[in-house]
Amino acid sequence: MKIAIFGNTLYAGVMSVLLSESGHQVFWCSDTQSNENNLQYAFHDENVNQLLEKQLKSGFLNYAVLSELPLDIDGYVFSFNQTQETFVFQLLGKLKQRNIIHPKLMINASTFGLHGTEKMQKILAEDDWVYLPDTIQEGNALQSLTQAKQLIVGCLDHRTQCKVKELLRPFFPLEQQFLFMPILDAEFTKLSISGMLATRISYINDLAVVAEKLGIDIASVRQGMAADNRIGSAYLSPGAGFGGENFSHDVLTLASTVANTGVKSQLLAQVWDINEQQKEILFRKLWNYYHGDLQGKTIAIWGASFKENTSSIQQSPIHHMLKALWAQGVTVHLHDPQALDEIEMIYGQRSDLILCQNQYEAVQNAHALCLILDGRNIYDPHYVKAQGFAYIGVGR
Amino acid sequence: MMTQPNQSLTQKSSAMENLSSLKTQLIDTHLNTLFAEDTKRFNRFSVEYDQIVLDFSKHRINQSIINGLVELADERNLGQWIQKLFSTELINYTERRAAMHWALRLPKDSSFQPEITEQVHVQLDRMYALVEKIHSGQYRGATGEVIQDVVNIGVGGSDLGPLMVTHALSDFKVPTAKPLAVHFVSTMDGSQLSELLHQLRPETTLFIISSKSFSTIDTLSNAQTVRQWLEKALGYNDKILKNHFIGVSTKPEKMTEWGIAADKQLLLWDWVGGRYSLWSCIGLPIALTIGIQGFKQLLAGAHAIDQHFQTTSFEVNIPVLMGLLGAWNNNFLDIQTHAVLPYDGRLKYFAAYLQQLEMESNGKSIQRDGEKVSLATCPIVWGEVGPNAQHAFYQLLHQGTHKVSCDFIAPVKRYNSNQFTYAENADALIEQHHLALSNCLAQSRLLAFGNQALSQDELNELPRYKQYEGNQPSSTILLKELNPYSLGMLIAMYEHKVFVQSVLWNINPFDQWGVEKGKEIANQLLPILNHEIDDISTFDASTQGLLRIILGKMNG
Repeated sequence: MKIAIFGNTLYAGVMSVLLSESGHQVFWCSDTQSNENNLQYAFHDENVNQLLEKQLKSGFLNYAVLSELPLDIDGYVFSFNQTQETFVFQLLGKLKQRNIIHPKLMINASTFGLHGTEKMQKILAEDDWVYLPDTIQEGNALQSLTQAKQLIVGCLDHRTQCKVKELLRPFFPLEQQFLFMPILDAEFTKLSISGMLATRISYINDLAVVAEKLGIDIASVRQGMAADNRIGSAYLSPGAGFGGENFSHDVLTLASTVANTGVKSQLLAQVWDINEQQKEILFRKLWNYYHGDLQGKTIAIWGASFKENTSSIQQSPIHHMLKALWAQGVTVHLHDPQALDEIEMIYGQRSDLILCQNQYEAVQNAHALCLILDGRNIYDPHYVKAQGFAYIGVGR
Repeated sequence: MMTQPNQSLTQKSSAMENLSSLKTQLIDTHLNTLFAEDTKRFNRFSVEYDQIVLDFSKHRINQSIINGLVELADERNLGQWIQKLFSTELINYTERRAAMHWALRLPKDSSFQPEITEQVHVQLDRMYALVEKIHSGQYRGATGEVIQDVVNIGVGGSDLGPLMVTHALSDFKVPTAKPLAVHFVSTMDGSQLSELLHQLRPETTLFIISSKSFSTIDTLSNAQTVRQWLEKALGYNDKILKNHFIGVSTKPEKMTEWGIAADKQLLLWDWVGGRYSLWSCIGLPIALTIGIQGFKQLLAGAHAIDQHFQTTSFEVNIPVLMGLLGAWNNNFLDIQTHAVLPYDGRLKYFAAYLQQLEMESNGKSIQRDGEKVSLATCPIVWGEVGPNAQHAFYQLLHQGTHKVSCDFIAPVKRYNSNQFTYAENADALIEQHHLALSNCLAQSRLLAFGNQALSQDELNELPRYKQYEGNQPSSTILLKELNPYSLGMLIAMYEHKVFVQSVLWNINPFDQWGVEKGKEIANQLLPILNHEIDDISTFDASTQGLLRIILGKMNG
């Protein structure tokens, strides 16, 4: 099939890779605002980047601007982040003016909240619309899409369902791998998944705070919970809270959706608040260790991105840590294998932030070291203490 | 005409005699007649300055009376007294202090009294730094959690001013990194604390101990209670004192003794009277609500009135006119009570605030020369938000036997700045504001003109119990809108009005000896209630009787 993909999200990149690799002819229009044929992307995922290079050479993947797209494209994929909603409507307006023979397959993979796909459908009403939730995991992008047990597809129309199944047959050959449902249901499902995961993280973090006060090791509790097959181990690591732009945005969207329906539910707002609190937890541990006297101290931090294998620092706990430490007059030595450039772009040069390429350089002359690696505990407290460190974990 | 400074009203005064005779000529003239005689009365008897309009045309005056009142002010050397106020002179002679609240609102670059200006701004900047830290969500309690509730513990001037302004400017609340609530606690019986403490978390609550002398028993007893509350939850350690208390006082050594950390001590000076102190660091709860820029606007508004008061000739000088009209009503028309009626619910505490400002300042009967006054001084000041009071005491204003003068206060515009608190319902709320304004104008009309304010149809065959005499004088003060700047102006207008009257009555408005003695006598009684002393025979029969009941109950 001939497929056009719009948008510069990680999902757009991954779809471009996967569809072209399986023999579809893919035209990727990453920047819909540009009239020049230059692709702009810089994903934090090296695997995706390498495969993109490969497919460009193979010829199945082409970068294109809107005006150069062939008119006989079978399917269009829209994958934008929530801040780009206006671009999408401009784009749809332009598509409407092209001499396309309708109906075509239109796939929305952007999370514009509830009824987002319906708004797009109003502009190109003759086409066959589908909503595919973007549940891609940064740091594990390709697998998270291809190895999904079932693919959620917002679409009830039989003809359209057939088109979707044909498009994705290389990855999802079996009928039962598709879970079809109305578009609105799928949109709400997408938000609910993010909400559930966030709830698990805040739940274990909340328990970790209590465990600490009671002298219980949260690691034992976590293992015990994970051993129950009704619960499992995913998203149950206590730590410095969840981050990431899209995930955080989903949780906020869901929380406000719930609030605006007039239903009296505070669960998601609490989940969010607990997480915001948790982003500062290492600061509070320092504060307590030094009895509130941090003025003039030097603190080393390893880890700035919101999880491993990415340089993305969106909604990462590092921001809360830096603000809190600076407000107390602390100098920070920061090391991260990938994210230091992004940190410098936001905070620039300042005397109380020293960026260290080498992790051991960062701890030179530091009073303490904070580890924010994937936001969770990574050391065995007994071992680290036996090495002569004063060690404090989250919940243990 | 020769006049002496400190000349008292008991001495011969040509201005007084003149005014007395003018009064005799006017006493039977109804406001209806005054308005009928002069269609330009509003233009003649109203003043506009900056964001404020004062309409005093509904007072029982004419041009000769205004001239006579200005003559009286001159005879009392008001001009010289204003100069003394705006100087370092110790005009609060009974306490040997200057009264320089005006210095608290001098701009940072002011060349007038540069040394005092610097002192003032050092403390303001320290306060602003604390506000900034609290607003950015970086002020932390003992456990490292972010402070989200601030409780102001103070009484009198350390309570009424900040409470009144914080409430009045609630629409100007600035957004903060974390939700922030400001609370006020004043009464010595702990009523407000007992209500509040069980709703707050010790970990995230900060207390401001606000006391000029840092020896006010009301405040210190509340402070002691919250200290115990914190210790119970967070343990006995120095982190509590260091992170949960800010002190505001003239007495750093007393704050240190109590346990306030040095960097959490904000200072003011003996030359600020308690009821004039909201402009100093006593105003911390205000700055926490409306932000640093808002607080600077409040100061700027008051400073604008300071300039106006010093430089404008008396017949168009708003505080001078307010003072003179008050004296006219009080001393010549024998109107002994004054009602303050804001037509804006945000000014809910304004009347209570003015009660302290006016009655604690001018509720006195000994002149600066030690003689007893021969005329009435401060009237009884009272009031309430107008629309609510219409359903309460307006009956007495319209048909009672007391003569009352009134100040109507209203903002012209409201709900006009897209503030997040009301933006969604702005249209409906604006209509409600128009309803309040129409009531404000209607009430002052009815008070002034009585039956004449009604249409001729209504008047025909009106039974006597439905009739309104009218002729009750009032001022109307319009603010362009109620904002930090205009409120700063409004408060400073009343401050200076009080000063003008103190000069006319030749009394010291800056002391308060009448509120000192009660504290001492309470100190005699407390040991008896605490069972430390048993002998009650030294007290009068009434007190003995009451003590027996209280002690009996407590024992039972």
